[in-house]
Amino acid sequence: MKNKYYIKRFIPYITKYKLLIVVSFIFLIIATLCSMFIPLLSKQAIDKFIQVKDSQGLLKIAGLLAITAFVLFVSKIIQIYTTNLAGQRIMKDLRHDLFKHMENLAVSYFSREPSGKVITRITNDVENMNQLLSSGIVALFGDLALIAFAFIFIFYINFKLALIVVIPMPFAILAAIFLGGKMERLYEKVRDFVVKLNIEMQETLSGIVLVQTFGAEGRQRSKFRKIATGYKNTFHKAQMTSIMLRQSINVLSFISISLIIIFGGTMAVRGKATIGTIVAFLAYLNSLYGPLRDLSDKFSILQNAISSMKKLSNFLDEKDIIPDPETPIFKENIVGDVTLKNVHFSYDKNTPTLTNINLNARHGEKIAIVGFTGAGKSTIANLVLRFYDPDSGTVEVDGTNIKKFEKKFIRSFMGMVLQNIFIFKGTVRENITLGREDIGDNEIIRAAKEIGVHSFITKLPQGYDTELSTEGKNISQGERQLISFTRALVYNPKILLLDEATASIDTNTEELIEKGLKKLMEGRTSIVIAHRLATIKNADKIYVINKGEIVEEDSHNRLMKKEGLYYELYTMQFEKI
Amino acid sequence: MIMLTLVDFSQVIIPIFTKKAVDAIGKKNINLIVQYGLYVLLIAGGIIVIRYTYNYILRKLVLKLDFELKTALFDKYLSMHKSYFEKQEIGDLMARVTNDTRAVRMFLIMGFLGGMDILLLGVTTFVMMFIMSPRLSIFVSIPLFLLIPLALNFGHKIHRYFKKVQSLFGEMTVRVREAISGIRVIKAFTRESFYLKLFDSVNKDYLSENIKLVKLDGFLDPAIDFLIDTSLFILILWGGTLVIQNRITIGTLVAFSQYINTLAWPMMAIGFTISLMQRARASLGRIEEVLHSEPEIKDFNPINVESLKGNVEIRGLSFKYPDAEANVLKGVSIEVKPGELLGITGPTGSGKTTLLELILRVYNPPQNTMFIDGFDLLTVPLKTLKKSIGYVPQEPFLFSDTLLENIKLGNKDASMVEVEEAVRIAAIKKNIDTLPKKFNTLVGEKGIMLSGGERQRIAIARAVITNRPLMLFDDPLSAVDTDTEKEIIRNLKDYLKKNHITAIITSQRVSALAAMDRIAVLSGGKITEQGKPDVLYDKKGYYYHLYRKQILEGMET
Repeated sequence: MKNKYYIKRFIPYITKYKLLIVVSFIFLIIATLCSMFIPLLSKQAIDKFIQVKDSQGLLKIAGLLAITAFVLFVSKIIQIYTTNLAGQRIMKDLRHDLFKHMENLAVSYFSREPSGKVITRITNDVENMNQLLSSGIVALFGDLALIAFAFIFIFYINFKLALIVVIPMPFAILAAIFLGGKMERLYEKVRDFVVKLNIEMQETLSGIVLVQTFGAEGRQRSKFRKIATGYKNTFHKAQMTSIMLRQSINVLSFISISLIIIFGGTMAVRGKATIGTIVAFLAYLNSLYGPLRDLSDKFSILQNAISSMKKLSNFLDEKDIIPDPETPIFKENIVGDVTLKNVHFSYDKNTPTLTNINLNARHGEKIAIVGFTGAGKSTIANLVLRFYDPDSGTVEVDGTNIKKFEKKFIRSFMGMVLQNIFIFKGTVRENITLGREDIGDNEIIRAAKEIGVHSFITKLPQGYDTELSTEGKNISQGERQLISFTRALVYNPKILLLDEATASIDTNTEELIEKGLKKLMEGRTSIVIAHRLATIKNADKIYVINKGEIVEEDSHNRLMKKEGLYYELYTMQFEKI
Repeated sequence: MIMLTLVDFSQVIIPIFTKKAVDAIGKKNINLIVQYGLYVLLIAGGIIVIRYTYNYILRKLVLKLDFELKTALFDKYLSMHKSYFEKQEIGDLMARVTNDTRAVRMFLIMGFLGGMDILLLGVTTFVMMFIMSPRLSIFVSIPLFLLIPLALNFGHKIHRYFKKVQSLFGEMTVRVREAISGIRVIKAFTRESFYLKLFDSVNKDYLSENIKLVKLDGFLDPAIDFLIDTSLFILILWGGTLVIQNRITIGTLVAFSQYINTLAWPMMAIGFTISLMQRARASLGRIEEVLHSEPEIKDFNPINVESLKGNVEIRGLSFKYPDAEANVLKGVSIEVKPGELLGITGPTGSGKTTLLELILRVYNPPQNTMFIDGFDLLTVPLKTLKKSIGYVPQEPFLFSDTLLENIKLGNKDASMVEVEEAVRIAAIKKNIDTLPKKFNTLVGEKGIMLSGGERQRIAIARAVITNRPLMLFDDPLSAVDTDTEKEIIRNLKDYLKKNHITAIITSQRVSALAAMDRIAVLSGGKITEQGKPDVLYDKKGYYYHLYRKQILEGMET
C-alpha cells in the first residue's frame, strides 16, 4: 500500500489539534527569526554605535537585544510545549482507539497472533509515532527554517562574503549524509548486540541448572564474551564515526571561520564590510552547521516512525471481527432454551473440531458435556457465546439463530465461568462487578454469601476493597474460582456456561466450590463442561463427546447402566486416590 | 590529559587570533589578517586531530572497562545457583549488566572525560577572558554561572520524572496484556467499556506525566539559550561602553562574543556531571552487590574422589525450600543400586522434581541424608558430581544455537558418530533429517520453533551423549506421542543397560514406568508404594489406577 494511504489514515488525529499545531509552527518561525536577529543586532551595535561611540544608541540596541532574547526564550518554550502537547494528545487518542479496536477483534485473532505483538502495537509503536511529530517533522522543519533564514540573512548582509563562506557547506552536507548514514547503521548494530546480550543472559540464567549440570559454564562464558566483544568493538566504531562526523563538520566550520576572517577582514580593510558583519557571520555559522550534526539522527527517527505508522494502520484495518446483523432482532423475555442443530466447526480447515453436534438445553435445565481433553468440549461454549461462528448448522436461543441477535444482546443473557480464571489488577469488588456501577454492595455481598466466599473476602486486609493483582498472588486458586462464581451470580444470566477448572485444589476448597456451583446453577439453563464428574451426576442430560462427536447422551443413571464410555470415565475418576 | 590540555588551550587561542585579526582591520593590515586567518585554520586542524585521537584512546579504555564489568557480572551469575535466581528477578539481574553498566559508562565518557575536557576548557577560557578584561569577564560570566545549578537541578528532576513516565508505561502495558488474556471474559460480560475506561485512566496519567516532563525538558534548552543571550546582552552593553571609552579594543569584544559560547558548555557540564555521577554511584553499588555475593552451593570440606559409580542412597530425607514453611519431602528413604533403573511417579507437586534437584545439588540437602557411592553428597566435590550426572530437566530448555551445539552441550568433544547414536536413541533423527540445514539448523529464539516433544527428545539426546554413570530424567516424555514414546523407552533401556548406567526417571506415563526395574510412588512428599512394576500393579494402589486410566485413554485416542 502507498505511504499516502497511511498518512491519510492518521490525518483526522492531527486535524483535531490543528490549532495547537499551527501555534507551534508560528512560534517556531518566531523563534527562528529571533535567533537570526540576535547576531544582526550585535552587528548593528558594533558598526553603528560602538565604533562611532554612540552610547545612547548602544543602550537602545542593547535593550532591543534583551527584548529579542526574551521573545526567543518565551516563543521557544511555547513552541516546544505546544508541539509536545499536540503530540502527546494525539498519541493518547490513538492509544484509546487502538485499545477499543483491539477489544472488538474476534477471539480467533488473539489465538492466532502472539499477545506481545498486540501489546507492542498499542505501546511502543505509538511511542515511535509520537517521535514523528516532535522530533521528526517539527524538528526537521525547524532545522530547515534555521538554515534557510541564516542563508537569507548572510546573503542580505553581505552577498559576496556569504558566497565565499558557504563554499564548505556542501561538503558538510555530504559528510552529514554519508557519515551520518554509516553512524546510524553502526548504532543499529549496537542495538542488535544489546538484544543478543539480553537473549544470551536470559537463556543462561533461565537454564542455569542445565548449564551447571552439563558443565557448560565455559561455553556460555565464551559465547557471552564473543557478543560482548562484538558490542564493544561496534560501539567504539559507532562512537568514533559520530565523533568523526562532528569533527568533520567542525573542520568545515573552522574553514568557514577562517574564510570569514581572511575575506571579511580584507573586505573590511577595503571598506566593503564592517567588523559587525564579521561578528554576525561568525554567529550565523552556528545556525548553518549546527543542524547538520544530528541530521541523520532525525532521519532515522523519521524512518522508525513511518514503519510504526504502517504497522498501526494495518492493525486498525484488521477485519477479524464477528459481525453484528444489519437488522438485529431483539426479544423482551428470553426464556433460555439453547439448541445446537447439526453444528460443524473447525479451527483450521484440515482438522474438524466438532462434527454434527445436536444438543438441547431447555429453560432451567442443567446439561453436562463430558469427554477426554481435546475432544472439543470447550469449543461448544465458544460457539454458544458467539466467539466463533459454526462452519455449518445453527446455534439457537429460544428458537432464534443467535446470528440474528446483536452480540451485546446475546451476552446480556448469558454468563460464563471460564477454565482460566480471569483476575485483573483492581479491587475484589471491581473483580466481581467488572466495573458495572449499577450493581450495589448489597447485591455483591448477597452473592458472595451464597457462593460462600464472603467470609474469606471480609478477612482480607481491606475486605472488598483489597487490591488483587493479575497473577492473583495474594489469593489461592480456589478463592479465585469462587470470586469468578460470584461474578457470574451478580450478573444473573438466563443461560450459564461453565467450563470447569482442571487445576487440582485441596478437598476443603473443592467442597466449597461444589456448594458454590450448585447455588450458581439454580434456576437457570446451565451448560457445564465438566471435568469432575461428581458435579454433574444430577444433570438433566449428559452429552459424552469423543473426537468432536456426540457418542452418548442420557441421564447419569442410564449412562451408567449402559456401561459405555461414560461409565469408563466415571469409574476411572472414582477409583483414583 | 596532556592532549586534553593542549586541545583546550588551543581552542581558547582561536578567539585571540580572531581578536588580533579584527584589531588588524583597524590597522588596515591585510597581510596580518590573512596570516591570522590561516593560524585559526591551522590550530583548528590540530585541535581536531588531537581531539579525535584522545577520544579514540579514552573511549576504548572506557569500553574495555565496560566489557570487564559485563563479563565479571555474567561470570558471577554463572557461579550462582537456582535459589539465587528464584530470589532475584532475572530481569533485574540483566538490567545490571546492561543499564547499570551504561550509567557507569555514561558518567565516564560524558561526565568524567567530557567533563574534564570541558572544565579545563572553561577554566582556560575564563583565564583568557580575565587577562583581556578582568571586570568584563566577571560580569559577562554571571549569567553563565547560573547554568550550573540549572543543569544540576534539572538533571535530577528530569531523571525522576522520566522514571515515573517509564513506570506508567509499564502499567499501561500491564493493562493491555490483561485485556488480551481476559478477552473472553470481557466479551462474555460485555465489559469492553469498563476496560477501556481502566486503560484510559492510565493513558491519561501517562499523558499528564509526559506533559510534566515536557514542561521541564522543554524549559531547559530555551533557558540555556536565554542565559547565553543575557551574557551577550551584558557584553554588548557593558563591553560596548568600554570600547566607546577606549578601555578595550573592538577585537576584544569580538573575541568575548566567541568565548561566551565556549564558556556556556563547561557550566552546563558541571551540573550534568554531578547528576550523572550520582546515578553512576547508585549503579556501581548495584553492580558491586552482585560481585560481592557468595554462591550458596559450594564445596564444604570436599573429599578426594574423582569419579562416581552412581549408587544413590537416601535416608530419611526431609527438605523444605529456603524461605518456605512446609516440608516438600517428608522422610524419604530409598536406594538405587548401580545400573538399576528406578521410576518415580506420583501426583503433581509431590516432590519428584525436588528430589532430583537435590541429587544434582541445585539445593543443599541436609547433612547425612543423601549419599552417593557411600559418601555424603555434601562432601562430594561439585566438580566430580557434575561430571558424573546426566540430566534431562522437566522443561526441555534449548539455547538459541544450532541443534548440534545444543546436543553437544555437555560433551563438546563428541564425535559425529556419537551424535548420530544419541539422536537415534532419542528417536529424533528422522525429524532432524527433514530440516533444511540438518544439525546446523538454528533453534530457539532466533531459529525455528520445535514442538514440545521434539525439544524433549533433543534434551534426551543431549543427556545420552554425556554418557555419565548416573542419569536423571525429569518427566522426559510428557509431550512425546505414544508411538515415539515406546521407541525411545526401548532404545533408552538398551542403552542404559548396555552401559551399566544408573537412572532415575520420573514420569506419569505407565508405558515408561512399566519398563523400569523398580517403581516408587511419591505422594505428598512421602514414598507410599514401591516395588517391581507387576508387583506394584497387583497392590491396586496409585500405580494400578494410573495404569488403568492410561490404558483406557490409549484405547480411545
